[in-house]
Amino acid sequence: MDILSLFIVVPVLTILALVFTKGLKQARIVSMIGSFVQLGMAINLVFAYFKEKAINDNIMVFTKDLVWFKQFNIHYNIGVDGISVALLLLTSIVVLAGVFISWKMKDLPKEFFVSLIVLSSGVYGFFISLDLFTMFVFFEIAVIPMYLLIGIWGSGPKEYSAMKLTLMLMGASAVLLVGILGIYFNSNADGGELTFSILEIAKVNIPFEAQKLFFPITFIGFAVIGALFPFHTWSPDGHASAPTAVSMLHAGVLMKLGGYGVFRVAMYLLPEGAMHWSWFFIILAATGVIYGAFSAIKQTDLKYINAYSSVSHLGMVLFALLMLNKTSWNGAILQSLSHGFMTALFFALIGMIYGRTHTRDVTKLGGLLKVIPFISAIYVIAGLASLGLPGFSGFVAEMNIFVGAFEHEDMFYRIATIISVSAIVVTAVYILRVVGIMLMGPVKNPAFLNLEKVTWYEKTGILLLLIPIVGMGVAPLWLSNMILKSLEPFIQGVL
Amino acid sequence: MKGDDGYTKFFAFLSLFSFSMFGLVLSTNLFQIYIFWELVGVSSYLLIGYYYTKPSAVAAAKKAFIVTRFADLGFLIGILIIGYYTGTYDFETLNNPEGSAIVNWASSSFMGLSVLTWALILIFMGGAGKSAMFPLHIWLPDAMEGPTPVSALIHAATMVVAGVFLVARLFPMYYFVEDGFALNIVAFVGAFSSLFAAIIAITQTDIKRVLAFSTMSQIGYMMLALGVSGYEGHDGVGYMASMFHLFTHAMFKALLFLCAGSVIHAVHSNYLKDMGGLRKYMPITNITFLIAALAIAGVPPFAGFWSKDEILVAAFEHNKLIYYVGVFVAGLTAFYMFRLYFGIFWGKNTKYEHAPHESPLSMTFPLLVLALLSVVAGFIPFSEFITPDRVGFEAHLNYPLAAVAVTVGLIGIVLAYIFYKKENDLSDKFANGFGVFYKWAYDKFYFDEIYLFVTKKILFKGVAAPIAKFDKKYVDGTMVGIGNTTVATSEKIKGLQSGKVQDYAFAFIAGVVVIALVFIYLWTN
Amino acid sequence: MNFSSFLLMRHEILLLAIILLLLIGEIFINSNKKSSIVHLAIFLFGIHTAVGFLSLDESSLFGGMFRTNNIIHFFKNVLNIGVFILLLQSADWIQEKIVTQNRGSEFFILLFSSLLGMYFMISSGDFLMFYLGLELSTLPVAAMAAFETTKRKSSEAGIKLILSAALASGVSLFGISILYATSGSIYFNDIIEVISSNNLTTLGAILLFAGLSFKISLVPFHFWTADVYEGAPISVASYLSVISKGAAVFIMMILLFTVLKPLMHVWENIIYVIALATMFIGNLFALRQQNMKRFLAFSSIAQAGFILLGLITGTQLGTATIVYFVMIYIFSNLAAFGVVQAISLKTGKENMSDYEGLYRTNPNLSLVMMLALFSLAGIPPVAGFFGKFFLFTAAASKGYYLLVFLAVVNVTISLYYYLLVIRAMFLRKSENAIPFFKNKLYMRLGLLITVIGILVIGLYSPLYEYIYELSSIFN
Repeated sequence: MDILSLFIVVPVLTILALVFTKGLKQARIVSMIGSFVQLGMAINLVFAYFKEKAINDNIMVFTKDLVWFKQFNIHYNIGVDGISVALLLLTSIVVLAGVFISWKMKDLPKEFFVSLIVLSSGVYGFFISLDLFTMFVFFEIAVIPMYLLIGIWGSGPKEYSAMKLTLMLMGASAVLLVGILGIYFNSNADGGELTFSILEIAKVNIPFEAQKLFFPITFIGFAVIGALFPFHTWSPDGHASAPTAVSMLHAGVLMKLGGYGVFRVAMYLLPEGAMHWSWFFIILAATGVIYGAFSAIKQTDLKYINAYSSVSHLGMVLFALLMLNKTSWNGAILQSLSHGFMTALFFALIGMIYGRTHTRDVTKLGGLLKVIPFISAIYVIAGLASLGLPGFSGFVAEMNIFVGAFEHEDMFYRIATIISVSAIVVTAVYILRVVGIMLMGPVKNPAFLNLEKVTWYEKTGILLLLIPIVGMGVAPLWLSNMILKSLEPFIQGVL
Repeated sequence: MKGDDGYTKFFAFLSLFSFSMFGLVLSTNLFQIYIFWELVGVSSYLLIGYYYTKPSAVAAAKKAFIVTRFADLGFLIGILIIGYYTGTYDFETLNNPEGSAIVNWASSSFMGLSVLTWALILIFMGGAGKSAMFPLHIWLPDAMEGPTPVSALIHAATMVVAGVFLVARLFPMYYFVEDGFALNIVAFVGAFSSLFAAIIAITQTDIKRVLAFSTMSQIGYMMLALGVSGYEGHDGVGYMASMFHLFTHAMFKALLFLCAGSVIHAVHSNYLKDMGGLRKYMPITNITFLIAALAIAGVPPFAGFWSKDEILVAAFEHNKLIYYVGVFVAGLTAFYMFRLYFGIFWGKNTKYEHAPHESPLSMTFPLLVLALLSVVAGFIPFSEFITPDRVGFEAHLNYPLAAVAVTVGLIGIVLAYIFYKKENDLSDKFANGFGVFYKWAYDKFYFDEIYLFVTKKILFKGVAAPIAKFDKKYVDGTMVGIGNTTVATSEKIKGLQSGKVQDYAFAFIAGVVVIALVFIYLWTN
Repeated sequence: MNFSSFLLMRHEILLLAIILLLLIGEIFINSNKKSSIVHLAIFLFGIHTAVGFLSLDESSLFGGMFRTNNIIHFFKNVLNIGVFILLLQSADWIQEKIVTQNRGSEFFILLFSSLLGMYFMISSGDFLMFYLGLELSTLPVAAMAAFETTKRKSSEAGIKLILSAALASGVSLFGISILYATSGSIYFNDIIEVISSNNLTTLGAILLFAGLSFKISLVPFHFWTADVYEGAPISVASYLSVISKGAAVFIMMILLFTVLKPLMHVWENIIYVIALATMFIGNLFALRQQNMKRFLAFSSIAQAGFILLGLITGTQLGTATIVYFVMIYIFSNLAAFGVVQAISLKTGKENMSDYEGLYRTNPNLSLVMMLALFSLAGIPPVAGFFGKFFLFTAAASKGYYLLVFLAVVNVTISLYYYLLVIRAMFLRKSENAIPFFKNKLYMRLGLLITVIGILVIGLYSPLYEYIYELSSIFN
């Protein structure tokens, strides 16, 4: 069994094991073990990747290529490069943290964990796929469990949010399907065969007219899940209604599929189309950055604040990708990773606060720093990381994005960059506003004077997420180099 | 600080600040300085908001961070511009007068000015924020919410001068690019801030606020000194003076704050009205405060005289208007400082509930050390060490100008003496003579209100709220609307399925006929 | 004609034999062991299905009226499997409701007769055989639709079906006669050689197409579908939705791709428009449905619309994807109908609102339904996804990107109403949820086979490859 297919096999085994469990205690132990193994595999993969790259300089390593549907030239084709390795690591950490955060999931625990693991298996499969068809299959596998996860275990208008989220995301993937077919049928432009293989198609010069048509379709298909304005509206309601671990996974991991897909597929395979359309989508992305930040100011529900914050941060990812240069792409991926950890941490903390105070309304909370110091202090740290404080991952990512984006030759893009940079102020405003109202100040509600102290499993979840944030902020070079090196073939392909 | 909640936290944050500040000062390139710049900002936030259960402290911390963040936005954009157009962030490379950065400053321009000029102006914006220059000064007075040692260290001596330090670090660029266009802006902003703050300081009744505005004013001096400086040899006296003043100011301002802290600790109030006649109870504080006040007023041989004198010399040689402003501010400085001195230690003989006592040695010892430094620091031959072109020169005392400065200072002291040494209402009558201008000055010229208006009414209500609503109603509304339309369509057409077989048969035949007509006659391929 | 060539009609002969055996069996079985007719029928049909997999040569009989080749043979086997599953699922219903009225064998005989008609229809080599098959396949179903004589709705279904069917077959007969007029022969092979595109031929083709579209439930020939599915017994609705539809699709494909090939430039536009109309109408109506049978009726109408995307291509790829999709569709729809059948038999409840909270009481049954609905919606990794994806690929291969785009829009719409069922079963809790019950062996077996099919067929690629090979005759 090759090292990558294990990433799909292990979750499947976990699911099978879960089917036989009875009750919460067994379910969560099994899930924890499964996710833990997964994390171990991801870390191991990092080291194995470096070792392998030292001897073998292919674009993708640990590849495996099995013919699946011969007539369509669909293959089970998997492989990784530095970028996928990083994202796999992100996924495994967030999943494990999510399991810990869900330690007390009382209602239908077995089904909950099964759905969670199914989602994660879809994500893993997506990141290792090198074949458009297989990638698409995993994409949908990752999305569909959201309906159950939000609809059954969520809160508030969960049915509405679940349906809206699922329909919008599946609608986007439906559009994506058209894009993929468009790419497929143009993959023989250089006289070869039709193929779904990403690496093969990248070598082909797809005619410009086709690129012009299919780039926006493919881009939008992926970018909806990356919260591209104006298709982002599934996100605030979806995140707010979802249970904590689901929000963590969704904002932290699932939404990264969008950026990754844009990069791996839309831009890599349709570079001229990307260049042609970039100005248009830059406007949308930059709007999302500012718009998301401003919307976050006005929200009073913690989860909505974080959801709009995600719209803003992920807008940066798309923004950076559309700049089409190495530094900004590096920044985009770093931002995907950084935001993944940060938003997962935020949602975890919000869940902890909600679980204790039973309200997510910022105006009703106050003075929590005195009552639940650990959680509050971590919230402050997370907030500072989110606004791009040096020493944390957000700064590293954002600086790469800004510097890279500013390198664009066209003045229009540089002005767009300046507009996006101003988001750092707006972000500071909404973060500190929440911190000030919710954590600092006097304790507003006397009922909150005795809140449960943070538990061991909550602490573990928090630390799992905090360590990468700090690690990336303080020592990002190994990661950045890994990504940069993996970007080289893409840069050459695109430019 | 003993007995305060989170005692250990305080020292942790203080260490964080020290780390950040050292890093800032030791940085050799723009990016690195930005990193530590931000960290300094966060340390300040944490320290100002140290008493986090007090809403006013929370608000002050937030204000400080956001205002400086806004300034940092300019800083960052300036960095991006420099990085892009010169290809480097390194100070050595950028500041090299023969290096490509400076030599080629005219190569790209934007709206009439070189892009590098824009960058330098934006970087100065960052510096202005951190150094509380007008109009980014509003955070400094509120920052007094923090514990007094914090005010002393950060908001008097070290952090607030970071902006000055930044401009000084990039001085060759400021000087050479576009013939010092950006540098002129620095000078005028500095001068204006200096004047502005001094006028306000005269009116304030919270002693820490007086000191805060005083700091702003003195930093204005430092900025204007940089602004009027030349580059080579003796021309660089402005630069030298600025750094010199930075150094001496740290001594006496820190001393002033610590004295203030001592006084506040004794009478449990920040306000002048609750003080008076304290010389009887706190002799050490009295003497050290006096020394500091004399230093800041520019009375020889105390430290402030030497540094301020050099600044005025530089100003005189460069721009007469700025010189006159500088002299005027010197007078104001002396006046408000001695207003404070007399108001606290002389003036009315307030009856105290608990007899204030001198602070313990742990607190008075630093006062004495700083007082000593305030006396001797002026004698350091700064010009040997700190110059723009790194070539030392000998600074001479310009007697005529010095005399003018000292005279003006003494006039200020005398006026304060008349108004405040004994309790009287001369000061009130004088104030009323200014009428509404006095009120404006007392209310800090309403800048806090303007900012609050802009943020609350315009940004929050005018921008953020509509955006949030727009998102909910229109963008989301569209998405949901698509769904609703589909369902509505479904409702509308339900009548088609009537249940009557005759209708079905009709539809069948009609369908055939239509298809036949359309595809045989109309749609011919 | 000798014996070995007679064996080419193996399927038909065997089925005929089974019908006769059942008729005889009905007479000889004791009145107190009437239920054994069910076991007998299933057993015999099982053998029939198994035997069907033995290979068959490509040839024709009766002067070309009857022909068989690999793909026709394959498709008959697919139909067999479908009917077999259907029998398993219907067994309990028949035992409880029908056998008690002494009508057990009637149902099977009617069913098998209809199937026999389908065999003839898809093996036809000329229009006479085609029409014979068409009629033989439709008429017994009308009787089956009205089978529950005590229910008014059943009779209504039967009447509507027979009337609509009569109209449809009349129209197609008219079309056939026009085609005969323009080409001079009713044999497909002869027609292929002389047919040319002119108005009269087009008219004939349209009429024929309309008649067949009736069986496939394409718009605007679909109106009977909902009422009949609702009124008829669930097994009959099942049969109509998968077997009847599938066979009709198959023969339409053959006719369009071979006999009417020269008219392709006309019928591909017709199909384009009808595909859009069918998908949209089917989906829009399905949104509102509360009755599960009507719900599945409109769902099947929409699915037929998707099938047309394969039909529009006229190529080998189109054929392969259509056959593949129909096969998967049989499994998916039978699974869904099976669950509805199980619940209806046990509780008589047929409304979506009755399904609320079903997961908490009957988890396995709910999971089967979920798999079925996911397959119908086209969500990976279950088979329905692959079927739909390949259909879309076929359409895109001819450049019909706009059509594919509108089709995927419809997929999203359909996802909505499939999720409504899932919402009821999984998301909602109810005090009146259907309590836990265990199905009998046959039903469980029937559902199991469909589940295996749904899970495996998509992933197991050699199956598609095999179908693709078989489709090479349509190049």
